[in-house]
Amino acid sequence: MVRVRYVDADILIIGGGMAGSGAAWETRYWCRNCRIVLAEKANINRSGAVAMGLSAINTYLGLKCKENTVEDYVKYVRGDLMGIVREDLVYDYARHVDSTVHLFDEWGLPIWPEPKTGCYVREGKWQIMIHGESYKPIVAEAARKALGDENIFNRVMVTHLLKSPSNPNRVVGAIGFNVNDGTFYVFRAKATILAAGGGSQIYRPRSQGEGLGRSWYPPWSSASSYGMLIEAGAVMTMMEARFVVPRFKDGYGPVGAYQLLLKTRISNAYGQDFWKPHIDEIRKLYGGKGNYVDLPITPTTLRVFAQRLEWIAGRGPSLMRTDETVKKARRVRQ
Amino acid sequence: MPSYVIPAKCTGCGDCVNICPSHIMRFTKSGIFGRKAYNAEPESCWECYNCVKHCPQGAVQIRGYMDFTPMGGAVEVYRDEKTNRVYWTIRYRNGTVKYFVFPIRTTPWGSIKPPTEYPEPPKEFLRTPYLSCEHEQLGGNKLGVELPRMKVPEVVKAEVRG
Amino acid sequence: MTISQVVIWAGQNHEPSERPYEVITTEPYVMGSHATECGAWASGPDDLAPKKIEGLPDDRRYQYYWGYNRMTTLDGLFCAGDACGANPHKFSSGSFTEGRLAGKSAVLYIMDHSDEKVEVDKTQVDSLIAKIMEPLERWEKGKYNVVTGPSYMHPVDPTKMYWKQGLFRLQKIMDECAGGWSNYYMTNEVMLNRGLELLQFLKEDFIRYAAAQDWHELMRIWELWHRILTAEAVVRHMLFRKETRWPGYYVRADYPALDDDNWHAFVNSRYDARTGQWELWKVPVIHIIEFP
Repeated sequence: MVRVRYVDADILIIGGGMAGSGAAWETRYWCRNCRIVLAEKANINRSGAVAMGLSAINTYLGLKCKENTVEDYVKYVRGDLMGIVREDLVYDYARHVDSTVHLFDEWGLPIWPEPKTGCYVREGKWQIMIHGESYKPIVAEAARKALGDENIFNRVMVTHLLKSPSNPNRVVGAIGFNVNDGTFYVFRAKATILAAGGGSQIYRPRSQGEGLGRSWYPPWSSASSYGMLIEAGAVMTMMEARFVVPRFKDGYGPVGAYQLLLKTRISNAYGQDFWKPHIDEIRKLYGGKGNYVDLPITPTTLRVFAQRLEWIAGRGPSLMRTDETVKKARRVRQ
Repeated sequence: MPSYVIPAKCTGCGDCVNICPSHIMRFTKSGIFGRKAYNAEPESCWECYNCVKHCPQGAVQIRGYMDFTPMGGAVEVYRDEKTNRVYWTIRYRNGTVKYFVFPIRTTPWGSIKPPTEYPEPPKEFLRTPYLSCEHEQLGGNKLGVELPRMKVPEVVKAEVRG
Repeated sequence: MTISQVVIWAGQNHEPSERPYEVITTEPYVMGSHATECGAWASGPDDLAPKKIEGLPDDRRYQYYWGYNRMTTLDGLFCAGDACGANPHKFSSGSFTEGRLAGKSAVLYIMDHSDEKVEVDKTQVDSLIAKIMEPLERWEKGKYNVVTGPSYMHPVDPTKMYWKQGLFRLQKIMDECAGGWSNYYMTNEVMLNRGLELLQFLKEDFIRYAAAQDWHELMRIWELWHRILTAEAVVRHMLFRKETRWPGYYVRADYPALDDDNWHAFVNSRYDARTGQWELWKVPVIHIIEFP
């Protein structure tokens, strides 16, 4: 026999990762007497893509210290995606993102300070360095305080959105079940915020034995965001832009600190530059109207493509020349 | 793997079962030593180390994925919420040992001021672009500058080709 | 932070200061928060979104704004983080920020619709629960069809598909047909069409044979369903875009160049679960900031 629990709420948040936690904080701020509930597949203290911790915050503009402008940020993001982004949406989150980071700072996330200027240590133009082992538990504490633990349903996997019987275009909640005991939850809500994960493990990972789970994005990011949206008939966009990231082989460890902070170069197997031999061909094929090849920050997709041309020519693998920069950095520090 | 459990140290408290983001730490069904935890699905393990960090007995450890990690090395962690430090020990296959200590938090646990302790925002601000803590009337301005704006025409011309 | 990398380096006695290390590209991921932009098409903010687009058919003129920031095309459903498409590079801080934006917008929505009653159809709920439970019941009913080993081994059973069996099929199809690493991220119309055909079989198999031995496996099997639907959307979108826009991510070898004349546009889609039909169309990119 199936146990079913009906939960009525004003707002339902699906997913307690970074986005879901942000939604929890803000909904409570604006509505003090609303019933707001959150369904999380794992445990909100350590869920989502930040469960392991992070070593950098990749989006911080530094408006306060006049480090960047929102316009420049939009241009950078547009360039990296080869011209196609919703600039209204990018501009919108970019102009608010600094206040989020300053909240994290106040809550206790250790961000590397730049004592002389009162700003933060830059990893790259848009990135700052953090000691982020407890990034997610700190953010989760804010979300839990905002909603109250009685309104956070851990270990409940939401599988389908619910539609109004009188209006097939109106979402009125969602349905899911507790993955430990099988209790079904029917959430009825006036508004629903979908903040579930993206999709890993859709393509065959490079390791398929014990290391199957060592995908770069966590194996628990099961594309539930998209699955539920698609099945409910929402308009989807840019699903063809599924992407790959350049990372250290096998462990998929981050390359940002070496590349951006220490300015470490990547070479082909023989120590040669991978970019210059292909630049003319790439400019011809992918220069486009946005002069993408000659942007101040070369789009990742083009750099990755040039490296792959080297591999196909038999001059792989790409090598991160940490041997050239790590010692130097150590000397500078001393 | 991913994580494995040392039976002599495991008390079966379930902290790892409770925290695992992948829902793969389980209890053994029975046994003369009482219940123990184990990693039931190593191929769904991300090596996120949360089971290791959250085990009060230090009973959970990680052995690198056999697919690509030579054996004999290890990375151990001890996370302390009282001193707010995380201690990493890296043991190389050749015997080299390295230690790292990092801060994990600058404030005491449980100290975050919830949104309800900020003054209630004026309702008319719901129709402005400001978020919480971005305006003097919304609990102070954490942006540090006036919210950036730009003029966007209401009607634009565009076409779709091809 | 990926501790795994350090575990490997410790096992290999690797010293980053002494020698370089290989960099590769991963298998493809479908995401909306990192350096890419898959996800729901959402309404823009009141002060930044172009309200009306002239030069498009009547029903396509209001595609950037419909009242509530980050609301999807379904009423009352908002998106944030990986769920929200066409605005990449959010990462952790931007995803939290987008959650805040969607949260505030959702509060405004319920204030505006305070007199609306939320109704849920009991029969819809019951049939959904029955559907979600089906893989578990299928296993329960046919437990003794074949000789089984220990519970961690999924049995070979002609009447059942367990989550890992289905997942491996999905991964193989996507890798080989839709530009995975084994093919140097290359694909073409023939491969993509074949991929769609194979995905169709997988979808049917899921509906007929999906099986789960416990609640945990029921979670895994529904995760698989979400992945399959997403995979189908990915392949259909890749088929639709007849150019190579991001050569590092995948190359449509039959259209190997970027084509800004025809494809400087979003590709949007909608799936009708009742008929199984997909509709795909282009939406113009409106530059509110000077381009290039």
